[in-house]
Amino acid sequence: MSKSLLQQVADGNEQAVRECLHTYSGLVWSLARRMCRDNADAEDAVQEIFVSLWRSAARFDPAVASETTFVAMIARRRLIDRVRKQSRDDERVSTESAEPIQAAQSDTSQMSEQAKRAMEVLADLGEDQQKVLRLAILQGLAHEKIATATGIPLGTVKTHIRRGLMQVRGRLSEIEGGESPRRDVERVL
Amino acid sequence: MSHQPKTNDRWFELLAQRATEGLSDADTQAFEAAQDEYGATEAEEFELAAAALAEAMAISDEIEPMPDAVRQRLDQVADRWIEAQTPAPIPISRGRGGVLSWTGWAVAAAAILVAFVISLPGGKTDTNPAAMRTALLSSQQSEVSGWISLPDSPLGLPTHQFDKGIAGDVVWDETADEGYMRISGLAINDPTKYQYQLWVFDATRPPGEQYADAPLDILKQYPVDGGVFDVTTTGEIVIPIDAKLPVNDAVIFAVTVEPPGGSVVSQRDVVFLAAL
Repeated sequence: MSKSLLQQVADGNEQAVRECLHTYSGLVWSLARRMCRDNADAEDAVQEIFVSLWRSAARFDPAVASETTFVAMIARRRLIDRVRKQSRDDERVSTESAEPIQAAQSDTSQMSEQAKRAMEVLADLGEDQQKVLRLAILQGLAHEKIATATGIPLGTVKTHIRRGLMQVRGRLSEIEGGESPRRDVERVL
Repeated sequence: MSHQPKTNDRWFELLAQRATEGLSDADTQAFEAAQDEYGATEAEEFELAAAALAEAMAISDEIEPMPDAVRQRLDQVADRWIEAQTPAPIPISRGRGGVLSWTGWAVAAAAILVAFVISLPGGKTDTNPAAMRTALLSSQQSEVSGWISLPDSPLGLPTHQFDKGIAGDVVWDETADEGYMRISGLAINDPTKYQYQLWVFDATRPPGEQYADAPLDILKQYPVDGGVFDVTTTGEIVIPIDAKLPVNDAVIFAVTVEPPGGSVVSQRDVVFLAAL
């Protein structure tokens, strides 16, 4: 079985480092652009993310997650940390991009198996819960800001997020013949 | 394996919060205490669930290609990262008669010191920064800023921005992204109230929107975070510059006063600036 890109990066393969950029630049940029305040901030963020990714490449384990999901996880860790350190008082909260989605209308051919499962869970959720999850995960909004922007009580926002994540986690555990994701995903940061 | 439902709703709330908006200091303490009881597995699984959702949402919305200019700069970051991973031979120059020159020995000594520091567990350094600075000074690649005694008017900025009596300089090695700021006159700080933070202005970085009114073009950018530090003693101190991103062309080094933990985007309460 051929090695994944990140495993090749961990082996010191220079070409794999560049290939990693080529493969994941769109995903990482898309995640950063939605959570950062402007392009300059997003550019800083993607630099941090890729350096962090290369450094942690040896910790990628295909038995735990797909490579794409691992990349998204590393990216989110850096972005959450970054957003928390920034003052977001001036941010404009837009709920326009939080419209509910239909799994059948989404092109899942580019998604990892984990993302497909997550999409199935998302599509089955109610409109409010989808909206809350999208604002929390894709835009990186604080729970209080989501409550303010949507008019949904804070307690309900937290419940929507918690239950949504638990449902996705449960669905992911069905991959690999009912095994849950392995327990040894190491902290990278 | 099946997930045993936990009765502790607070634990799950912390996991969800950590995987989405992150944890406050107080919640981090609560999380770490609970993690001792419940283990790390569920926290990791919540992170993976959030990552899978993020991937699904981003692809569903359509992936936005990275702009060419950003991609080109990222290619440079990759080149520098690759370069940094490749062990470089120690450039020992030979003097007349085949005897190693002092410069060669100094460079070798600096390299050994750096290697020693890097090899320590957890990247912790117990080597005196002042000694490291001295070693770096011997490197042919390093540059040193002039000693600046404030309140001069460095870079044409009004002197009222600076505390009086502060003086310092910077030694910086562009190839290794390593450097030290030597500074005196900074007030001892209470880390629970504020901390000092170092910044590196890199000539190759783009301008940010927040600092459009800065008096120099170079100051209009978001600089590279050079690390947070505390001053615990009066007199001269040497601070290692811990650049969080690769630096291509360092031009200015700044120290600002920031909230505990530092900032990603500084409010620019500048107390010291040094230019190479």
